[in-house]
Amino acid sequence: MTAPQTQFDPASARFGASRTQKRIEDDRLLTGKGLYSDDRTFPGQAWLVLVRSPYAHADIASIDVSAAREAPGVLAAWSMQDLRADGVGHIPFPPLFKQADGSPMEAPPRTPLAEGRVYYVGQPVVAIVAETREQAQDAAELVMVDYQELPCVADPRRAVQPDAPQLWPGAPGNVSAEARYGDAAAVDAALARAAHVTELALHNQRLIAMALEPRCSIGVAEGGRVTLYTQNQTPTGARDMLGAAFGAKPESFRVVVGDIGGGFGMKTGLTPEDALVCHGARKLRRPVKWRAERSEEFLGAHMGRDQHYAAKLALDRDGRILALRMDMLANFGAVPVGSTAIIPLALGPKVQTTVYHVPAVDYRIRGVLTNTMATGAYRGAGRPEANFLMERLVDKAAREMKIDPAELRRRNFIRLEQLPYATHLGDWYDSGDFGRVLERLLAAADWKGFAARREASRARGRLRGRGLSVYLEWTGAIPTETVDIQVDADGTVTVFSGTQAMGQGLETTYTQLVTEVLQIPARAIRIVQGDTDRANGVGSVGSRSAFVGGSAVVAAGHKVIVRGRELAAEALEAAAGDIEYRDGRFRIAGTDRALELAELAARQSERFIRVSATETPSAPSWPNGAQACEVEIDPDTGAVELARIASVDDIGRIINRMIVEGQVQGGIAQGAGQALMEQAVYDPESGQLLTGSLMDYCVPRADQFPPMANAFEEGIPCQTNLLGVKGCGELGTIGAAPAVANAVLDALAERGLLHLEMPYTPEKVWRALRGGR
Amino acid sequence: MHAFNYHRPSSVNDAAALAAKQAEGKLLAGGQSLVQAMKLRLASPSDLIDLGAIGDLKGIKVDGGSVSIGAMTRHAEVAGSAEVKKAIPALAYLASQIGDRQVRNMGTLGGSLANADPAADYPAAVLGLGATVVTNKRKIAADDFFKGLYETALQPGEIITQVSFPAPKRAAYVKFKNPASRFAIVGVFVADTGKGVRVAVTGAGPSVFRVADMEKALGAKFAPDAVAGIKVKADGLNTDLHASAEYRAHLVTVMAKRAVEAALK
Repeated sequence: MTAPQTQFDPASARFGASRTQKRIEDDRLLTGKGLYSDDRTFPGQAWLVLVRSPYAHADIASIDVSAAREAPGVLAAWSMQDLRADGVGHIPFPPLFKQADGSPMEAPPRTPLAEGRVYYVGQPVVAIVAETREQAQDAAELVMVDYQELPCVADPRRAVQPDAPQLWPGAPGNVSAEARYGDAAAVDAALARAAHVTELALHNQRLIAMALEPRCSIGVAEGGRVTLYTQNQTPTGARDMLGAAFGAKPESFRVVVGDIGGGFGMKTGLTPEDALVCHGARKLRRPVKWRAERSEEFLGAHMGRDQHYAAKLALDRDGRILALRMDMLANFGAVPVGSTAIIPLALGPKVQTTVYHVPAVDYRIRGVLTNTMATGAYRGAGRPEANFLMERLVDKAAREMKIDPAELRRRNFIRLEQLPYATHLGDWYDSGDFGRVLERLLAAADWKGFAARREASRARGRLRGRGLSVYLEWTGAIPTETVDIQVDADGTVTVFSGTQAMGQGLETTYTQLVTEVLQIPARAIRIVQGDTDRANGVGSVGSRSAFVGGSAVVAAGHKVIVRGRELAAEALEAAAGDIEYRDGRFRIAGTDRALELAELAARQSERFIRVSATETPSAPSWPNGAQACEVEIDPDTGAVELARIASVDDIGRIINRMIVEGQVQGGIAQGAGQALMEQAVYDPESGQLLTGSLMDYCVPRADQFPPMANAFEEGIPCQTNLLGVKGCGELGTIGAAPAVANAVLDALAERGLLHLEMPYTPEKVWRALRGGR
Repeated sequence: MHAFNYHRPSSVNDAAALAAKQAEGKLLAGGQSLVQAMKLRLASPSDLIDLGAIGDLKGIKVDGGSVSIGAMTRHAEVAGSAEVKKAIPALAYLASQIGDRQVRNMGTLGGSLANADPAADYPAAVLGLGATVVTNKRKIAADDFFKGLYETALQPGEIITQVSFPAPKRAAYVKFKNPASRFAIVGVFVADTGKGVRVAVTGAGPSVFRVADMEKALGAKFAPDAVAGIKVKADGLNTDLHASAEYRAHLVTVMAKRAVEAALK
């Protein structure tokens, strides 16, 4: 349950750590004072509109933009040929992965506009720039593209068959990249001697990120370079990709980000639309703006998940896990984005054995090209899929072996004495007490009281089921951030960070950290993010902001004190060792001679003090937790209702309880959404997106959730960073999908059903209850 | 959205005259379907004739045994009307279940009926209660009004002015919502009119329809059991990503049974 809230008091000397503190940014965001990309309008601004491919796979025989160019208000109409003439290239993906034969990963290059061929429905083909958006839309209807349709393939299981349509010559069999991990012989041996083998084939279905704020980008030529105003979780990365796409120095671009209405990983890297507005600004010397329609966001923003698994779990007679074999086809889509490959090929495998000791593993992962939009980062990014597989395997094993599901999990946890624990992929778990987290959860969820609740449900004609999940996340991708802090003569303390708020409350969290280190009032502190001229870094992805960015904030705060001591020693004519710092004042110990931070800044010739700190946690962090869910099923309709949800998460030290509760609850909503209703579906024949609007793509709503009981295990701080934090942004999502799935399948178990694919839509459950008929 | 001419007549006659002149024009009621289609450039009327300034089309009157509702009355007004709640509570409840709050504050009875979306709620009440659709030209019985998928008996330029609902002895509406759009996958309106029982189904087929077997069974015995064993055929029912025809056919029986239960409460 939500802890009592503390009203933000700007005069309070300190927030204090771990307190529930209302978010500073909410006042602005909730009263319409936020600044989102679409809120920006520039003098002389023109509008860019895209003509997108209606076909999943087709050769472009010809493009005729002559009528569009003549239309009222039109300033330009470009195909990729025009962009090439101006030296525009493609947006590269990182060269991290290889094919089975050792050659580099291959896929169609991500040109801002299609070049010669279209590979998925919604791919940008022609860009129109006009004085107004309506004029650009009218002109777009005059563009004539002669498509010669090719056979297409949307399902990776079909794409790897020998007779499937081929997307790219460099990726034979449509396999773009492949990764192998583990020891196949050891797993063969374990499977041979296992008392029980649980087998499972499952599809972790494709999802759409569905940020409330559709994307919007504006390119503006300013001072001899181009500024991209956009929403982006990784502004520095976007700037660097602009350099790559235009064959220019990254410094010839600036990326400015205001408020972001949800990102979930989708607003990372650089998009074709970003590159096109920047090209417009360079070419036309006018600000050029593009804003997605909601339907364009469905088609043109990268999606998440879409992984097909075949797995085997070998267990001994007592239910102790001996080995895991996993063969996975990851649907890359056609034209990979920057995060497409790393998620299934690297991030998922990192946590594939989750909180269990699995002596032997064997993973084969193929990234498959299909005629669909690319998949990429989406809340959890590989870790939800890996955890879902493990929790379904363990639950199925428990049912097959008739062992209590909590007990089977207990028997397989990595024990305290095994920490630090080396994984098969060469990482080390630094901390965690998985048994304690599970026991706390079982108590919080009243696991033992289930039988009575099931009887009560039965009396009302409802089937009730309960599900458990225990799970582990990895966070700390590229674990370095640099933070600058500047103290001005008026006492303002400004923090510059390359991490990026997108709704998760970083302004509040970082302010809390600074008040704690510098012992100054919150009202003196400003947090600056989202401007590559002022701060650079990796950005906010993979729950890393507090873990890496927050650590750098604290390191920079300490540096302010160290530097301030030296400066105060000079000013007060004392030895630096005699200067003590407290509550914003440097004082010669044992005297009343002191200087405020602001006074000290005013004495400098620049009239400010500025420090820079780069912080790199020594290793990744491993947030983990457990969730319990109970569902009720209406057997007449198959409708599933969420009845109870409880979670216990170990995210290390908590900086702001209300924020982490919000993160966990929102995450649970997204995970439960995947389990019960969300699915992006492409028609297998035509490659058309069948769930292209909110009329068909179902997102969870608040009225579908019971009150949640969210608790935290706070006694196990992370060992690898200054703060002891582990990251909280994705745990809820990771834990909820398997907990809900296991609950639904528990309710259906009396009908002999051991597995059913997500999402558990009413008709699917109704059919399952009728025995699949 | 394409450009269009906008008109705001103050009388039904003026609206009809404008509609007669503009072959590619459209009448605008609450705009909850039409404006969306225009924004997606799926509809591009040359002219919009906004009925919002015509006072005669608004309001709710309860007169003896019937409730008359002006065509431009918003769903939220019907849902919140104390008079409707008293005379035909099932009708007020149905209106409260349409779309979301924003849709209910803008959408209108007349607009919903003229559009005849196969998954709209109001057609179930109109057919289930045996209402009369009144236009600027004539009165049309509910049984003659709905002709098929987005098809009605309305002639070009004909404008719905009001709908007259006879108050039943008892009635109820139960719908199984599309989880994404919250339109009806299947909605069943059951009414014991005093002169017989009517059962109208929306969402399941291309157009709202009655189920004669259920009406007969409920006429003999108005109880949930009476319809529990009556199945409708799946042939010709809608199939989409959310529900197959077979599942919809099954839901008709389940929702009909629940509607009878609700009507008896």
